[in-house]
Amino acid sequence: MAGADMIRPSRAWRFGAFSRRPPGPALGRLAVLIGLLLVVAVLSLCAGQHWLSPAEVLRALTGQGRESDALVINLLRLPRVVLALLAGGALGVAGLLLQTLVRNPLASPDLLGVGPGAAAAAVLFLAYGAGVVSPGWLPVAAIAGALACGVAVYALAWKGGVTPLRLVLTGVAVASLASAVTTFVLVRGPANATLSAYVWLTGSVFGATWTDIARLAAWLAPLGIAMALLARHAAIAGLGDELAQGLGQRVEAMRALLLTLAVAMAGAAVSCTGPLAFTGLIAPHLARRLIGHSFGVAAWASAAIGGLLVMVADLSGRVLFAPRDLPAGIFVAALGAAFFVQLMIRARHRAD
Amino acid sequence: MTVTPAPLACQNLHVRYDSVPVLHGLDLTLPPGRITVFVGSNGCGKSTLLKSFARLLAPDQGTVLLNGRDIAQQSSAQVARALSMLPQSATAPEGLTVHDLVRLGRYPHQNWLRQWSREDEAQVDAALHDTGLSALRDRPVDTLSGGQRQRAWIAMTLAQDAPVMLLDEPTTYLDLAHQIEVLDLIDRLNTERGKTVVMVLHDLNLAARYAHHMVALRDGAVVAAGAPAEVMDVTLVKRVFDLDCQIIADPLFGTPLCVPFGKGRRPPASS
Amino acid sequence: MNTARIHPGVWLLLAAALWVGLALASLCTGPLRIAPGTVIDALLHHDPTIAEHVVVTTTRLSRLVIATLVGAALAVAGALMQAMTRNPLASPGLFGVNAGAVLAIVLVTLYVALPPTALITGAAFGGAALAGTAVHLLGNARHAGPTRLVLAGAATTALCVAITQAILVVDQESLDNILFWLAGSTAARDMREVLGLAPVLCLGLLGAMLLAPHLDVLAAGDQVAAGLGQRMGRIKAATGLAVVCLAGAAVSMAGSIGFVGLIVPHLARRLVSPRHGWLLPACALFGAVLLVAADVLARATGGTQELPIGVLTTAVGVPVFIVMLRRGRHGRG
Repeated sequence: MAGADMIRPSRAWRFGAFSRRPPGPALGRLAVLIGLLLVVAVLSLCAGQHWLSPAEVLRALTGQGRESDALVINLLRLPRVVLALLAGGALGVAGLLLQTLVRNPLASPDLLGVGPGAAAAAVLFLAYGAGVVSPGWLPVAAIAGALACGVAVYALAWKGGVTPLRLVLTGVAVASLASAVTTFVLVRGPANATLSAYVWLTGSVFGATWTDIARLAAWLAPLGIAMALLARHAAIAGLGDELAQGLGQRVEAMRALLLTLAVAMAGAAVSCTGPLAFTGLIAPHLARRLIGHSFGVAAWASAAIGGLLVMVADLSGRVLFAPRDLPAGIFVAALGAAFFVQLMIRARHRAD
Repeated sequence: MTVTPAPLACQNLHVRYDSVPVLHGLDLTLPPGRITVFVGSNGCGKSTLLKSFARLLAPDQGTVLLNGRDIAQQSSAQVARALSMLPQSATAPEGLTVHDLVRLGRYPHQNWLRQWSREDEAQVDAALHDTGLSALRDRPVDTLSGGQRQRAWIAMTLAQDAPVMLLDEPTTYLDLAHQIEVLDLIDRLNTERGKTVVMVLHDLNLAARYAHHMVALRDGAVVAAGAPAEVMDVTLVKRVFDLDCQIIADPLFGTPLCVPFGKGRRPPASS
Repeated sequence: MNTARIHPGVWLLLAAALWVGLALASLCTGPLRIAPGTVIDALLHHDPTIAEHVVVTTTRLSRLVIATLVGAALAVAGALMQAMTRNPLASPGLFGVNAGAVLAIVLVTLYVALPPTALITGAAFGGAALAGTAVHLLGNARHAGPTRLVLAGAATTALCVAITQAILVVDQESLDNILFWLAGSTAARDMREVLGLAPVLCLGLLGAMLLAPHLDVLAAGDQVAAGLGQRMGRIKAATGLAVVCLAGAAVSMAGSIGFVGLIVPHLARRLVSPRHGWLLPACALFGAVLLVAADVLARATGGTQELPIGVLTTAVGVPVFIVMLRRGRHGRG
């Protein structure tokens, strides 16, 4: 069985029973990505109504700079950056997971009603609950809405099993219903709630606080760990039911578990920032193009790119139209448009 | 001498597909270490039978036995280590490389800790070598030719290292040269690696050439089962395919060759 | 499937009769309850001094006309899209056509203070056409199944909605004006505007009817159609044009109303006939009936503030769609 092509240097990370295949050249690209992330983060901290130099930022972070600087950085800008990173990362991973499960590169968390579900719950809360309960409960309402939608979609699509097509169609239908609820509340609800609801609907990291971040991190930590543990199962699920079952995976159980994971991650992110449409659609694409299609590595890249996207969008919102501070969601949508055009051009070439 | 149970067998197998009964009480034992081919016309149940053996369909009545035990009682992982299945139209995720695809075949042998052991690496390299794809390991699967792509899928099921290989119409959509290429590969895997192969083929003559054991189905029941030379004759073809023919010996391989004719064009008088 | 098939013509007559009944109800309903007798009086012996007569012939009649035309237009557009894409899930709402039209209209109102109807309609057409093309290009790759098309439609819709929202957030005055209309409404249109758009709609409907026999051939598949000598490119272009006209005009008249274009063709196909010669008129009638009924319901239950029609059609349409999905053959993707 031996042959000349069998003599290859064995590339593996092995330590006792632990063994992993190193990602190869993808690792280098991932490192570059993370480097880019840090650069943009620092830039985000420098930019704003009052521009600071990187040195001043560093001093403020380590507690050595001027007090006013430290205030701006620690209370205003740093939370935004961290929130953008966490939310964008979560959406990126959730998007990749969904695209793998549905076996289609056009899937995104919004499709399963995550965005619209959270939006409906949030708008209902803002219109009818804001006076009754403390506004701190808004993210909880939003996440409950997202999860409820996700569960409803899965339950309605389940008929002895779930096929990607039925899942997508049910998702679109339920998302439409959630949107209709949102519209209904916007139109019929108390007038003062409308604008704040609408702003929330666009998606933004404005006014991020450390409590928000703590809450999001509390959700994302266990979810992230779960993702790390289940990553190899996701890759198999992406082959399709028959192959996955042939390889010994319990298809329905794994699909339900992974979908819950995706919806929970996206729901948590969206509950803090509002629906940042398209992050979950674009980030996985870019990740796959840059890093390759192996799920494990692509997931890291997707998280990094998702975070990068939201940070850049937020940065643009603060800087490009100064002194106005526009919601990040607008720029994510704009990026989405550019991305779409590019996708169409590629699809054209493919079809030819 | 201990009797090792046959790797795959079924007893009184009744299967429905979409609530339509397809298989009616089949009893079959498949020979170990040989190539078995299911043949029959469209809708006779050959794909359904293969899927039932692969545990993709649950029987209405009766049992499928894997290594002598009821397959439904065994865990997914156990079954995956005993048999591998290649469905008819397998599609790889866009952009996945050959190596990445073949690696996925090691799934039933891995856990969270152990994701790239020496055994995994050796099996993947061997699978790539045996299917002649070592040079193409870093190419995306969707850029390969039809025959190469099918070989990549076979490499994946090879890496799974299961003694039984099930293949559902592995040669459909391939042109003739690639069909022969794939079937020769499967034949080699059977001889060199001792794999028990069970496949569905729609081409009767190719089935006769490559099969050690042929199972002919009609309307969900077994019409004949045995070596092609013994089983394939004019009456069988008439019963299974509703077709008149003459059976001759293949001039190259000596296996039965079916030369069909219908009610339209007649052979010339001087034959 | 149906053991006793009722002749298609009978269904059309039934639908027409139903429409007449609902039309009367529509003219009677509202904050000011008007008796049927008065309504008929208003139509036949119009007396401008009687307040009720005025209400009937201005606001209520315009709402009725809008609901009828828009319902018919959306249903027929849906049927055309389903024929053109050979996909039973196609509809203007699901495939971004409506969302594109809305976005274009919002863009226009952003830059032009009081845009004339022609400009709005033109923008709606443009937006509908662009969105439809985008979905077509994205969704129809080689070897792509229906999933890709649906996802392309959903993604395009989401994109248009996101941009629309973005604009409305930035320009807050437009928000309040547009919000109600965005949700779908038959209100706030004076008859002149309606009469201005009506010819376009009627032209679209007529064009669709003329295409009917060609659509039957198209439905058989590209290769079959080509083999039968059909100039597919032209037919598809003409159909696309009809869809844009109908959906664009509908959106500029009444905002974004979903699910009519998806469900009505299915219903019509099952009850009446899959042949487009009967299917298209049936869609028009059923769609008109559906929307007039929805309009009556919206005003009857709303109290002082009426229910947005788009919300109503979605609330009814989604459960019906899901039931259809679960019962139908879309299960095995």
